[in-house]
Amino acid sequence: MNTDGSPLKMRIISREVTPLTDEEYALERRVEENAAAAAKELRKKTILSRIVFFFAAVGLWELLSGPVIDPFFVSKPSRIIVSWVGDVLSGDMIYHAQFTLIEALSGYFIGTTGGIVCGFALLYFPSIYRMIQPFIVAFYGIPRIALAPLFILWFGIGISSKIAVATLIVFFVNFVNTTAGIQGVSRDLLNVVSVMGAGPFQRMWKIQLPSALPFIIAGLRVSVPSCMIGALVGEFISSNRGIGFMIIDAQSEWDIAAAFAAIFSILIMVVCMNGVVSFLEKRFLRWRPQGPDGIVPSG
Amino acid sequence: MNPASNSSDMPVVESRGVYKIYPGRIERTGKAFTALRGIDLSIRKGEFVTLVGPSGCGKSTFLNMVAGLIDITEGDLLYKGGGIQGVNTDVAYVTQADNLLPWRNLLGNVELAMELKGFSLSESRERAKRYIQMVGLEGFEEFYPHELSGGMQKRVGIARTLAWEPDTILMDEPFGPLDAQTRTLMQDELLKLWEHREQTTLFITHDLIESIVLSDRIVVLSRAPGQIVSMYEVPIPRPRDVFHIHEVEGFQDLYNALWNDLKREITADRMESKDRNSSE
Repeated sequence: MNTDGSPLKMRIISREVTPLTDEEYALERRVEENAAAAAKELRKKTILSRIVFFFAAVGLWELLSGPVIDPFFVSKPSRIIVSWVGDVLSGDMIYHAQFTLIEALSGYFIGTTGGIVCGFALLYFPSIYRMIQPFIVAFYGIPRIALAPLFILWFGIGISSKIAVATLIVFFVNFVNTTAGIQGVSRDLLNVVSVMGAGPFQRMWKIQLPSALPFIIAGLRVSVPSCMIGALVGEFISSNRGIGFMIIDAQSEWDIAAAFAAIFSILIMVVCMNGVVSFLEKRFLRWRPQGPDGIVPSG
Repeated sequence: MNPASNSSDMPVVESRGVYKIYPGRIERTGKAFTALRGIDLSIRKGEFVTLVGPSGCGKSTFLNMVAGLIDITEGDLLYKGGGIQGVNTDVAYVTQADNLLPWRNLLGNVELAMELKGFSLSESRERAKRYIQMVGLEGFEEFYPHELSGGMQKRVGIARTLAWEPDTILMDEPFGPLDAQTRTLMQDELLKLWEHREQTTLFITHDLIESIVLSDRIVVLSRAPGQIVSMYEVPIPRPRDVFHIHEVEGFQDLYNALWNDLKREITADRMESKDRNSSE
C-alpha cells in the first residue's frame, strides 16, 4: 500500500473530505422542519378524513331512514342516541353492561392465559403434544358456540355459563397461535443460546416467548371480539340480564333503536379492549421492523 | 420517460450537486441525516460505472434515486437529459436479493418484466428462451426458483434483467450473497453478456476486484455523508479475462490506489466512533 502519492494517470478526481458547511447544516435543519410539518399535515388530514367519513355515514343513515328505507326496521342515529342516553340515565345500560363486561373479560383472561400457558406447557411434554395434537385440530374445527346450549345446562343460567362459553372460544385461538409461534422459532437461535449455556427455562423465557410473541399478540387481538361473541351468545340462549338480554328484549318489543343502543355499548367496550391490546402490541413488539418510513441507509 | 434530444454524447445519467438528506424518524430523534453530499457525476451512454465506498455511504441511495424510487433533496439529477419524476421504468434494477417470484418457474420469471412492459407473448417467450440459453440454464425452464442453486437463481435474475434489453441497468451488489467461486463465474457471465450489448450500467459493490474487472470507471465515495473522494479510469482493455485479471498490467496499481482511498474512509469511521465512545 505505498502507491498513494504516486501520480496515477488513471485517477481522474481526488478530493479531500471536509466537514459539513454551515449551509449544509441549514439544509439538514430545513429537511427536518419540512418532514415534521409534513407529518403533522398528514396526521391532521387523516383525522379530518375520519371525522368527515363518520359524519357522512351517520348522516346518510339519518337522511335515508324515512324517505328511502323504513325507519321501523333500521331506526335512525338520532333515535338510537336518544334511546342510548335514556338507558344510560335510567341505569339500565350500566346494569346490563356490567354483566356482559364481566363475562367477556373473565372469559378473555381465563381463555387467553389458559391457552398461552397450555401452549408453552406442551413444550415440556412433547409426547403429550404428539398424542393430543390431532384431537386439538379436530376440536378446533368445531364452532365452539355449538357447545353453548350444553354449557347453560352444566353451569346454569347465571354468568358462569357465559364465562365458560367465552373462555372456550378464546382458549383455542390462543392455544393454537402460541404453539404455532413456538414452532416458528429459529433452530439456529435456540442452538446458539444452548451453546451459550441456556437451560430449557431460559430458552423458553429468552427466545421462545419473545419469538412467539407476534403470534400470541395476534391471538390476543382476535380474542377481543371472540370473548364478546361468547358472552352474547350465552345471553341470547338464556339469561335475564346483560347486553345480549337487552338486544333480545328490544327485538321482542320491535324496538330497533334500543337494540342498536345496546350494540353501541358493545362497540364502546370492544374499542376500549382493542386499545389495551394495541398498547401491548406497541410496548412488546417495538423491536419489529416498521414500515418504510424513517431512514434506512444501506450500501 | 423524456424523449430527450438526439445527441448521442449526452450523458445518460447526469448528477449535478445532488444531495439526499433523510429527515430521520420523527418519533425518535427527529435528527436529519445527510446520506449524499454534492454528488457530481455524469455517465456516458454505454459506460460501465461502479460505485464503491464504506457501508452506509449512500451508494444504494444514489441508485434508488436514478431508479426514481426516492426523491432527491437538492441539486439536479437528469436521466437522458430530463428530470426523474416518479419511478424510472426505463432502467432495469437488480438488487442483492434475487426477487424471483417463488410461484413462477424459471421461464415465467424471465418473462415477468416483458409481460409488464407489454411485449407480445411470442416475443417475450422467444427472448426469454434466448437469454436463458445465454446464461446457460437451458433445460431448467420449468424449474421453480427453490429448485435452483444460488448461482442459478442469480443467473435467472440476470436473464430477466437483460432479456427486455433495457438501455440502462442498475445493479446493487448483485453478487453479494454468493460464494467466492460462484461470484467469479457470475462476473464472467455478466461481462460476456454486457460486452455483447454495452448497456449503460451503474453498479455497486464492496468487492474492489469485481469493480476493476467489470468497470470502465470507478467512483469512490466517502463515509457518510457520502461524497465523491476519487474517481478512476480502468486502463484494462476489453474483452477482459475475469480469471486472470490479477496478472494484467495496471491491475495492482489500481487496486492499491482504490484500497488506499477506501481504507482511509473505513478507518476514519472507526476512529470517529472510538472518539465518540470515549467521550461519553
